[in-house]
Amino acid sequence: MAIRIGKISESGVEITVLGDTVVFKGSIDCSTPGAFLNPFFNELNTKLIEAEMKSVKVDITQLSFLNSSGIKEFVNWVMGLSKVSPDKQYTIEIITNPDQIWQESSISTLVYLNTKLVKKTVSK
Amino acid sequence: MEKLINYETNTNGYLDITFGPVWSYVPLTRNYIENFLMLNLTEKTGINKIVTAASELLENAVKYSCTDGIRVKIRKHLDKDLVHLVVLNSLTRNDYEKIEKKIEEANNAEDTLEYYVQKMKESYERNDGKAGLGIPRIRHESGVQFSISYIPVDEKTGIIEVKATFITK
Repeated sequence: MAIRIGKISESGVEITVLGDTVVFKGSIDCSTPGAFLNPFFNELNTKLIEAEMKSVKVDITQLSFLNSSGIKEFVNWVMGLSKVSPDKQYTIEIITNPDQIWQESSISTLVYLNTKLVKKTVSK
Repeated sequence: MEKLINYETNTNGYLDITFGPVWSYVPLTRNYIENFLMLNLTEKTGINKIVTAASELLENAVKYSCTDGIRVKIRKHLDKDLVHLVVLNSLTRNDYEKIEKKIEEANNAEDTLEYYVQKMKESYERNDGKAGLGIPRIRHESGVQFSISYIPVDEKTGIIEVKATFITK
């Protein structure tokens, strides 16, 4: 299964959806990342549910920075997932890069919000 | 010369940047600080903690500054494995009092993960467009405590100084 969402290129970050994987490249350090991340995550969530997908991968191996305003948008997505009815919920696998040192602590905390549906894996 | 630019002696590496409150200067300054620290420190995790903290504090400074001028100072201690980070900006007294409470709450958090997660949950409930996660993120990811002070300029405004000290290698 795959979903289709147009490529986003905003304020130093590029977001591409390839099959069941969302790829982030660049850095999220603008003042209001919610302006594009909020509608993106809403659309992603809707399409994942419509397509009855049970998992999605989020590849942030090429994301060099994520500010706390950007973290808030990931938090909203992850926490919003717990409000989706259980039969429509999906798992989120966040693929991190050990060379991007911020990812270990920042993403581990995000996973802590919903350990049943969100997991972090390290890219080989 | 020391008095002229307020240079801090007794240091093993010192950086002092002042810029106007323009958002795009924050990533620029973050990158500069990272390059500076890479010349002075060897441990990448420690560098990353300071860089992330500086970036989050500078973002707050640009957001809340009530007049021009944001200043960040990084000082590597002469004898100890310590790096001092200081961020200064102008602020209304009302905003200072709000930030003072947030800093106090952060410093008092014993379980920083629990505190950060709680702030994430509160952030989810907020509808004002603010995250409120910068200070909790630094507190949890770096384990540092903050000290702050306020220098009044007039009845309503002043300069806030936020300090954090990192143990480094």
